[in-house]
Amino acid sequence: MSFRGRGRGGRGRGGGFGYDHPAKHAPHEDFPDITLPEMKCAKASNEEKALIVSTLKLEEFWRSSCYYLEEDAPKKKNEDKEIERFSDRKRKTQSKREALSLYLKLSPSNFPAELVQGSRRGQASNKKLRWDKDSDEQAFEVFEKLEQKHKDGSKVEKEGDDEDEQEEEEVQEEENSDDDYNQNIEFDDDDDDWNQEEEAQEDFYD
Amino acid sequence: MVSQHGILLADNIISDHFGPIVSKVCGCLLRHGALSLLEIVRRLELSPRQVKNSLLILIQHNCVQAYTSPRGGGDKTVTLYLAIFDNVLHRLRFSKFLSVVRVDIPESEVLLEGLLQNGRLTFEQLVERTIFKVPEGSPLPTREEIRMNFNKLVYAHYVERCPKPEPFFDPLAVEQPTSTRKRAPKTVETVLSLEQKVVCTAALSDAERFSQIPYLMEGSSSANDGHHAVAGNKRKHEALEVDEEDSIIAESEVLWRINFERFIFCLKKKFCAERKKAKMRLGTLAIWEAFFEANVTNNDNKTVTSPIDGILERVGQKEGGTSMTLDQIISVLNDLECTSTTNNPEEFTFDLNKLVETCRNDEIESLVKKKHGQEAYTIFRLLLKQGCPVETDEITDRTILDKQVVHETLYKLWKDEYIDSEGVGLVPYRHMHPVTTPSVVHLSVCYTLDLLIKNLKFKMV
Repeated sequence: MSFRGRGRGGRGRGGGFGYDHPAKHAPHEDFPDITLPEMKCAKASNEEKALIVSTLKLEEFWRSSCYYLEEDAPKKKNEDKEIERFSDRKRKTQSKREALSLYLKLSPSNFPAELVQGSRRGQASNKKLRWDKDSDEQAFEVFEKLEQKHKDGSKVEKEGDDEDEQEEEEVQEEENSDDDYNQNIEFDDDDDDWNQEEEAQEDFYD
Repeated sequence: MVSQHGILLADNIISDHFGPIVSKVCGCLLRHGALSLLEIVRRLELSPRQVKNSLLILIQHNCVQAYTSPRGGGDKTVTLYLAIFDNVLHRLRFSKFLSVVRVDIPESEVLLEGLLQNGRLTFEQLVERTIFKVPEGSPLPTREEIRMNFNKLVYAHYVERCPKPEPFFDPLAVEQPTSTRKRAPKTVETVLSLEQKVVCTAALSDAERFSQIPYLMEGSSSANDGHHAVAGNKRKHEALEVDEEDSIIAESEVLWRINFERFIFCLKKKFCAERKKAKMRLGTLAIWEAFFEANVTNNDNKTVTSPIDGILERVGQKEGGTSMTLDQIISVLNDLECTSTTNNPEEFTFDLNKLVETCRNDEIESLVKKKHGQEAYTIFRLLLKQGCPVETDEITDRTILDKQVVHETLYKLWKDEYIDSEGVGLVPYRHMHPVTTPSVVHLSVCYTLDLLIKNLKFKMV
């Protein structure tokens, strides 16, 4: 192999094929300038942007709707109670999807008879349907704004140096601390698995 | 049957929108054709409840059509479920459907959005949803306003009444009983697939599909009056004599959905109009635009027909069209493949499907050329033009390419599933002796949409 390498090198140097590339020692450049491909997404027209927004909105709706069937989670028996995780408890508080029967008109005039057998016909007319999840998000935004206003309001009161208000706040804090204190009294041990139900209630007070 | 790439795309769409379980059911139907509920449960090993819910969702969103078919001998029947592949793909176009209505009938966009999101809804549900979506502080629309906006969609054929949920269809019968259908053409030249036959069987008649929700005078006493006054609207509807009961049924029990054919027609029309514009001169462009603007509503959803009077009126208003004579305009229309018939020389018709297919083939040919070179392009184009299986030797003769090059190129195209091969005779090609028996490998272009789906997922019309 080395002989071949030498031979090739000799031929290259003395051969005169016109294949003469003397080695150039150029300094190594970490990030050489290169022309990047043209970014098309930023040049999308207003019509294309509207189409993209519309598509994303539709896909988000379906993913959060009652039409999205999730796989049933494997049921854990009580024998796993000792190693139940905090995230498992959190999962119970997440919002559930609405029932399919609320939106589908399950009757033999609309669907095959074998699919609607046994299902209750008609929906509860009194139940208010959540046609769009965006409205819920807007509701949360309203609550966030109210909370911010409340915080801003409490800051302004502090800056005003109103002793009465401070006392009230202190009283409120004391009252809150009383609640925590009371709960701690009842609650013996954080590691006590048998008191987990009380822990769940404690979470809900938020 | 749908190709593998099509099934994969459909699986991805359904999985994104409705989850993995519904996707499994839909994929099973696409792979195996029409199946009964028990067969689906057996194949997928899902619980009957999961399969039932999946089918309900797929039917609700117009991706599956159920029908009753005879089972064995006797009077026994079985309910089969058939996936509608085209409707699954159309889900990627919903935002474009919305844009069509946003331009044409903007006040009805919210109603259409409700139908796109939920698949099928009654008018009552649409009213409830519309009121729910009104932002706080804005005035609530009246029921009559919503009805008027909804009837605009029905009149324009953007929405229709849902088809029959479980029609009877016998695949073995020669002719299907379709006494109420008027949509079938008088001469059926092409063989319809099972999917098309089932869809035709389930579809209502045009009069029923696009029957609007009747108006009722508010506060009218219905006890003694046999006639109800009808509120007029801008589109000059005829007065309808309806019973109050019929109106209640139409509002609360009839399910409505979008009319896919109409929207695809609108998109094809827009595509064809834009496609040719780039290469046109000023005078020709004016005539082309005027032709589309003068379009009279077509019910066949395949052609665009415009009267010459309408075309002339609009050409005269455009730049470069004022000085053109009638003969010049007719000549240009004929060059643009807008033809008239002897029965109706005053109307010119343009076939949308022909141009769409030509553009689709051009797109595919350019992809083949890009990936495999000029020789592959030549061979592929030959096969497309022929439209039928072609022998290997004939390909070599007609393309005037070297035999070795032809074989290599055909192998590359076959490996990428752009073409398909079929052997003729008792012995497979691989085992035939090259000296004593001639090469009888026939090549046919496989379903071109397969390639389109593979490479153009996000560029659909």
